[in-house]
Amino acid sequence: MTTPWAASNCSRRTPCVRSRATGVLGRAFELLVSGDREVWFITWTSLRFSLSSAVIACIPGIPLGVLIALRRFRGRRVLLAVLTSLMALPTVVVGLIVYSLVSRAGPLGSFGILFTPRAVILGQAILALPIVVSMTASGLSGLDPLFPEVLTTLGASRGGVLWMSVRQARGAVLSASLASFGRVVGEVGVAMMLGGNIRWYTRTITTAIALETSKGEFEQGIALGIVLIVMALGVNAVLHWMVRHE
Amino acid sequence: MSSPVSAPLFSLRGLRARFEGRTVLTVDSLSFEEGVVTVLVGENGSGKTTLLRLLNGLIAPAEGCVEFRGKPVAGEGLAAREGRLAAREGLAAVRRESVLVHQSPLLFRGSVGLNVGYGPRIRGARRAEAAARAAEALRRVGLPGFERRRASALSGGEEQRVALARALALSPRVLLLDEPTANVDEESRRGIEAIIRDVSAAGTTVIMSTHNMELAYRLCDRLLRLDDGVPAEVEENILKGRIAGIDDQFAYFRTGNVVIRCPARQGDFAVAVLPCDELILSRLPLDSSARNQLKGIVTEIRPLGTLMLAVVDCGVPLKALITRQSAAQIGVAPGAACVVTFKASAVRLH
Repeated sequence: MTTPWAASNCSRRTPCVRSRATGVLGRAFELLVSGDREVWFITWTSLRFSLSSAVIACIPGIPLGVLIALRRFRGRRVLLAVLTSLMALPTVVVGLIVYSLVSRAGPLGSFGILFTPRAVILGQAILALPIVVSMTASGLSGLDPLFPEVLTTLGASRGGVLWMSVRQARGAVLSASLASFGRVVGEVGVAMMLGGNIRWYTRTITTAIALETSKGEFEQGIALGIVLIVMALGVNAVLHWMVRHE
Repeated sequence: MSSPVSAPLFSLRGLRARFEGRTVLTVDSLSFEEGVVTVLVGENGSGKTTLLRLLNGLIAPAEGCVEFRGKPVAGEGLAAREGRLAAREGLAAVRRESVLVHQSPLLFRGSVGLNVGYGPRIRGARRAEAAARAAEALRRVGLPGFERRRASALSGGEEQRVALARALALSPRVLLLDEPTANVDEESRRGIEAIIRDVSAAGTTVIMSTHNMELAYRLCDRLLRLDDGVPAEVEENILKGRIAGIDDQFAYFRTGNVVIRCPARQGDFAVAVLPCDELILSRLPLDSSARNQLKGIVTEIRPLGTLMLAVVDCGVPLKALITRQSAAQIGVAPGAACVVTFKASAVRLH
């Protein structure tokens, strides 16, 4: 099988192995501040994939989480336990499963989405879904069990109850969304296996770092690593800020 | 089916409600009339809250049915297809005309105005109309101008009154209250009592539960006791009236055109409670220490457990519990004249 990994073009750079660490860091910062097109394209790709997959996971995930939190049904605890375990779903396993589904010989092969952004987004959405559902459900568990009944007696429809519950627990719901974003933006397995790390197409921050590091070329890796860390810290800072203000 | 005019507001038949596999409410037959304040009393877990939730159509009974103005809200009619349509109509009517205020206020995050205006808004009122209704409801509960306050910054009593205002903003025909004074201090309790009195005077039917017997006696037109999920007759005469005079020995309580002697106590009493088993029936006036003797006519007699319950019209109807043997001996039967005797100290004023 041919690997779709595109060769990295770094002919203009000197081999990095012999550079001093400060030199590597310095060049990494230079890449960032000089607005290197590739670095920022990769960053943009990562953001695009992660945001899309988080949003796609939230659309069914938040209502599902609310329903699980508000309804009492048989097997609810088991479902919650399963969802919590799925939060730690190994990314390569999701990659493997989606790969086998969308590869040419797979049941969804005719769509031809393997090694396209769609495949990455699909895989990452699957990764994000249990996080959204589980965190929404646990966030709403603080609501009084009678809360839906209060809304109902005041005249709310089922949709109204759902909407008001999300509004009541908006901190928890936002945390769930951000946490799912945080999870997918930093994962490598799905992006590598389903996106194929294709330059100017599906190369994300994490796959680029993996590639550059394996080539022994650290500048771009470190530059992207800094971007990733800033993103992760930013998401966490927003989360903390929200938790404090709820 | 009877016409909606003559149908009671709520009627319950052959009702069983289960919670976690346990039967919590068993009602063979019970109805609630329009315009009446019914107070439910009973121990914790006796089914008061369950009954209120059933009436509001928030839960469905395991068996039997609840009818609202002659239309099934839930229950056996649900199984049949046409029954389901009727049940939807019944439920829609209950939702339109009645609202339940839960024991804990459960206010929404945000302003008081948002809370109180929520019901009208969700039912399609425009923003301005909802705000006007919220303002009016807040005025009724004695919290005018509270719209902009944060719901999380209210005291317990204020929270309870905002919860009440949230229901009143809907101008309900039927107000269902679950322990409205459970978590509030004495002053707020008096405030809430006044609000309920005011709401009832405006023609709203009130069905409420409480542990506070004082409140129950003062507010009720009808007192209903739930014993382990079974409605039971309250074996007390609850007489509404006022103190007509007081001397060093007695307080004189006027109810209807009857004055009864009660233990002398200062206070603004509106209710005299006289347990049914404190009444003695006789053919002739008794020569005894009891200070209250009223002549009357027996209007009804029926068995109650192992005893008989006689209703004697002495100007006000008084219920007395007697044994079968004594009923037979003194000839207690509808239409018979008799004398009702009870001690002043048997009367409790509220």
